[in-house]
Amino acid sequence: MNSKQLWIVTLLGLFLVGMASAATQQQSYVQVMLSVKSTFELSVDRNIVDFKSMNPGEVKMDMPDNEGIKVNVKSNNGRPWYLKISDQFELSNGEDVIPNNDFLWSGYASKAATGVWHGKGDDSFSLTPALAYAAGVNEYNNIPNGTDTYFKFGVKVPVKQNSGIYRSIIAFTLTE
Amino acid sequence: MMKKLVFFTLILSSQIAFSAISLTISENGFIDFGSMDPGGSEYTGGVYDYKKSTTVTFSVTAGTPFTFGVKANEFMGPASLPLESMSWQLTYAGGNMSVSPWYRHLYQEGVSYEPNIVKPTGYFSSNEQYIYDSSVHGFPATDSGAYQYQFLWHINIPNNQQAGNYMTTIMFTLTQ
Repeated sequence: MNSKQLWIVTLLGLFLVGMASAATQQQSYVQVMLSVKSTFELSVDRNIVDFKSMNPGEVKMDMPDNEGIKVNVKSNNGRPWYLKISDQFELSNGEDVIPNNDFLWSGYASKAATGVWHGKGDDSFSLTPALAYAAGVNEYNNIPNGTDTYFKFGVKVPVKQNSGIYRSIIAFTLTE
Repeated sequence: MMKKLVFFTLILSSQIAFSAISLTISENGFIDFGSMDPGGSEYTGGVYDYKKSTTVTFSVTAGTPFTFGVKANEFMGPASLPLESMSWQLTYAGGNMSVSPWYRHLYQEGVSYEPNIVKPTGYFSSNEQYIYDSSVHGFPATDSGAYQYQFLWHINIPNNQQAGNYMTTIMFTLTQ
């Protein structure tokens, strides 16, 4: 065996030793899929606000109590959401109406809330939903507890208002 | 020179034979947990059902240490979903070997086991976890028959999980 052959044999030997010490690997794969359901919920803790008996010209604010009605919003959609308020019709007793200019809402967001409260104090109701609260970024997904906001209401009975029982329906609207 | 050539050809052939291992997924290689609520908990197919098991078959070369491990990629989706939310359960281990590794381990060596070495159940991570390690628990000296393992999958969705579609890939790795 000449020196050239010796080199070839040595290199081949090293190659085989390397192969012997190298681990062989096989891999197989399993695909996994799932879908997490959407939560987009709005709830109120009370359904009736009763101003009870009032005199013409009388004003009642901060009803039904000092805390107000709690409105809770839950979303896990990861997108901005907006809470709006309106009434479906003005305070009415048949043909008699207390105009929305005299029907007011106010409120506040809970201490834990991080969004923006858009109420200015005592806002008049409108038939089209008005923005009350816009979620903060970390409320785009706020489950499981959600975000609490509180609403209070007031009425100014016009001095020449006809007597009767006046009703309206307040609507909270949640949009993205 | 011819003798040397034959000699090296034989060595090379033995090295090629040495690396002949195989790993296949023969049943349920696609897992769909379907639509789930935040906070929900599901087995594959919604119930603990052996028919839903994923079957993994592999063969190794006798007399050589090997490992069989599993890991998963991070979930892809609209938000982070921890890998530890998903776990496996080994529902069967056996095959052509006279004694299956898991059976031997459980019943011949006692019910205590090394949870970091042989894991009949475990939570996923992006690091490979050995389900079987022959250097610890032995390997067939003469029998290179197929091992067959079956897995059932489970997932716990965090109760604050953002809605949307999530997917990941589970990787089985056989190393010898």
